[in-house]
Amino acid sequence: MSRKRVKFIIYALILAGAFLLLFVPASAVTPFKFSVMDAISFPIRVIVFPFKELKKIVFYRKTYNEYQSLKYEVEILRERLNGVDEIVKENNRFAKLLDFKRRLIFSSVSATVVGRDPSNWNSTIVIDRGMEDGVEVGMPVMSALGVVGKVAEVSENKAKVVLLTDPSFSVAALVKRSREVGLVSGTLQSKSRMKYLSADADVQIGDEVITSKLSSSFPEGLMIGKIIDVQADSNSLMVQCLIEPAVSLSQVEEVLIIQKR
Amino acid sequence: MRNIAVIGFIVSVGFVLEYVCAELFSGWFCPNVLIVVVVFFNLFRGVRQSLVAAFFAGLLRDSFSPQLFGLHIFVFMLCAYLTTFVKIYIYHSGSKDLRVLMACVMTVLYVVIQSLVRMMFMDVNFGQVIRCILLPELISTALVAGYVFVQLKKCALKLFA
Repeated sequence: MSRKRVKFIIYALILAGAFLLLFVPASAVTPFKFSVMDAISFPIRVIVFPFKELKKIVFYRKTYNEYQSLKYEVEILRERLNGVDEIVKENNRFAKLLDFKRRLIFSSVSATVVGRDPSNWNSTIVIDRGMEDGVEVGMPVMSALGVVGKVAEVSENKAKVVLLTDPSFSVAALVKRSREVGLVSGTLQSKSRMKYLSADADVQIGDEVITSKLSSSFPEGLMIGKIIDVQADSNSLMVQCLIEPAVSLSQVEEVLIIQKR
Repeated sequence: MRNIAVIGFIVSVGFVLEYVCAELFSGWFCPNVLIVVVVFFNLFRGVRQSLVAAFFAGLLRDSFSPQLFGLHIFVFMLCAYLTTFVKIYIYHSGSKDLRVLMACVMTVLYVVIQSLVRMMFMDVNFGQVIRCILLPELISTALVAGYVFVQLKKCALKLFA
C-alpha cells in the first residue's frame, strides 16, 4: 500500500472516531465537559472582568433609565400592595375559618451567572449552583422580570441553563389578554417564537405572553415576553408570533432556580 | 508533547478572544477565531498539528455547549482536513489576501457542515442559519482574519522556536 493511501486511511479513522463521539451518551461526558469548562473558566473570568466593567460604564445611561423606570414601578406596586394587604388579611381570616391548609408549592435557590456559551448556535449560561444545591435537569430558571430558561446539564457545583432564546428550548405558553395557547421556543435570532396558534387566534403586537399551566416544568403565570411581530403563513392554518423576552438575556447576572417540592 | 501544549495554549487564547467578543458585542460581531487558528496551523505547520488544534478547539466549544458532545470536535477536525484540499485551489501563491480568503471559505464550510450534522439530530432553519450565524460570522471573521494570522505567526515563531 502506498504511503499516501495509509495516511488517508489514518485520517479517515481519526475523523470517524470524532464522528462516533456524537453518539456517546450525554450523561457519560457531562463531568468531563464541566472539568474542561472549570479549567478555562478562571482565566476567562479574569480577562473578561475589565471588559464587562467597561461595558457597564458605556451602557450606564440605559442602566440608569432602567433603574428609574423600575423605581417608578416599585412605587406603584407598593401603593397597590397597601390595598392588597387588607384583602390578604381578610383571606387569611376566611382560610382559618375554613381550616384551609396552605401549602407552598415551590421553593427556589438563587444563583450567579459565571459563564456563557460564546457560540451563536446556542444561547446558554453557566450558573454557580449544582447538584449539591438541589439543582436538577429540567428545573425552570427565572429572574425578577420573568422566565430565563431551563437547566440542561448539572455538575456538583455548576449547571448549564438553556436560555429562552435557544432553539432547543420550549415551553407551553398563553397570550395573557386573549388566553390563546401555543408553544414558545427559541430561535437563532435572540428572540423567541410562539407557534401552533390557530390562524384566527386573537393575538396582537404588544400582547404579553406568560407560561401556561399545560407546561410540565414551569409554574403557570410567569412572564415570558411581549409579542413584537405576528407572522401569518398563507400555506398553513397557523400563525406564529415573534416574542421579545421580558428579561434582557445578554445582561442577566443573577437568577432564581425554581425547585419543585 | 511540547508542541501539543503550545497548540493547546494558542487555541485557548483564541477561545478567550471569541468569548470576549461574545461578551462585548453579543452576537453581531462574532469572528470565528478558532477556525482561523485551525487554518493557520494547516497552512504553516501541516495537517497533523491542524487536527490537534481542531480537536482542542472543538473540545472547548463542546464543553460550553449544552448539546451533543463531539459536534464541534468533528466539524473542526473535518474542516482541518478539508483545508488541505481547499488550499490546493486557493492558496497557491501564499499571499496575505489569500489567507483571509481561506479563512472565509473555511468559515462557510464550517457553518454548512455544522448545519448538516445538526440536521441529523434536530431541526435546522437554514434561513436563520444564513442570517443569524453565517453572515455575521463570515463578515467579522473576514475583518479580523488578517490581523489574527499576523499575530499567530509571531506567536508560533516564538513558542515553537
